[in-house]
Amino acid sequence: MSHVPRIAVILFPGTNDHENSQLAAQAAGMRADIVRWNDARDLAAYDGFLLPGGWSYEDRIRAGVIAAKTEIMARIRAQGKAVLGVCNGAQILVESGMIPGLSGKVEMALAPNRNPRIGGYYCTWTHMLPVGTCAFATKGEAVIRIPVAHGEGRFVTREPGLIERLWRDNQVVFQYCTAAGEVVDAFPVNPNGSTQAIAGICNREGNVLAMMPHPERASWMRQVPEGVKSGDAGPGRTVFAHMKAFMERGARETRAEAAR
Amino acid sequence: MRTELFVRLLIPDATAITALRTLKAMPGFEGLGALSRYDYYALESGGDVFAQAAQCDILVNANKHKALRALPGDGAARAAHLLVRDLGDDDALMRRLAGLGLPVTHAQRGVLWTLVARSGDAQALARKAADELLHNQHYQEYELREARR
Repeated sequence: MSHVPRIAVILFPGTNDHENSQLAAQAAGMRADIVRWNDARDLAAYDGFLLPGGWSYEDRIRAGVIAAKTEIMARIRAQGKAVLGVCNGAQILVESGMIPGLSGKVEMALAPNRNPRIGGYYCTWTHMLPVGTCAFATKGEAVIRIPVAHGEGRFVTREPGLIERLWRDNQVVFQYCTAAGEVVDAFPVNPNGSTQAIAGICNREGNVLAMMPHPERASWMRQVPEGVKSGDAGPGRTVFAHMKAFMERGARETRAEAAR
Repeated sequence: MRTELFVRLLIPDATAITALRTLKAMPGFEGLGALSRYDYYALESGGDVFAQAAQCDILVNANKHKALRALPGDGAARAAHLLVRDLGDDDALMRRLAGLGLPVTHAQRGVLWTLVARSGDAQALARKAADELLHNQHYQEYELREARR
């Protein structure tokens, strides 16, 4: 009997994208439960985790930092499974030190946007290019039409040489680009001033991804501005499809190991 | 001339309460007694612009804020004041204030946290809080400030 991957969509106080994310994961063929941050259930039953967008803890102090200190994040980290953080979920992963995850300390920030048009929160449709391979993407695949909606989405670091190291170790997964796939490190293609137009970064092992654009809001063609108004899979679905395939491979390998 | 504004909420400060609860749940903050927060502004201009700035509602909403000229001493010998600022965040504020008719040539903003220690060294506690929760060194900086005596 085939194993249907099961993920927990983590709901913190202030999260608002949990239901979108659950639906997108289900549409990609996963089982998805919404799990509250203070739920003591055993997380071992899950093959992966999704930290959705929103304003966890009202962005008090800094976006994502309070959620990053919660006990459930320590439990998720200990599982060592697939973790997708989108928008506020990405901010949580960066503030927890899971992304880029080289030293266990906070090595980056998702700083306030630098946008010549508007200060603070900014939402628009963008394109992103898969430039790295991990559990959620494959380098060289098609440009993904996808929306962003955030006030703090600018990947920055003061660690000398860190960005170069991320490139060398295949940890830069997505960059903002034009519709034709040309990466342009300037507004409006880069909507927030992120270093080198980076939109998503994974950990060294490739099982944890922090991305600012919202794949769950581009999971059906009817969500995409230029798309036909249909229920066909949208461009963001690919992120969830990759996650599902990664977890299926993990389950197969686990079963094969157990059989040996 | 440099004018400083310390702006505090007149209503309960949910951010400060959350920060205090979070710190107290972290190892090494057992000696932390209280935490409060001010929005901080430093304005450079040809004269004292405190009165004008205190009526500028993008800085001070009279319905819920009170502006102070200086940090209160608080009478707490064990208090430390930690100013956290975003790097390179000043130009936009200056433009907005100038657009409202406030004659400033330079503007800085930040968040000033006041930590009161029940025991131990308040300054050391404030540095630890900055490093572990209250600031992200990749886009922010912090300094410890003296209170008015």
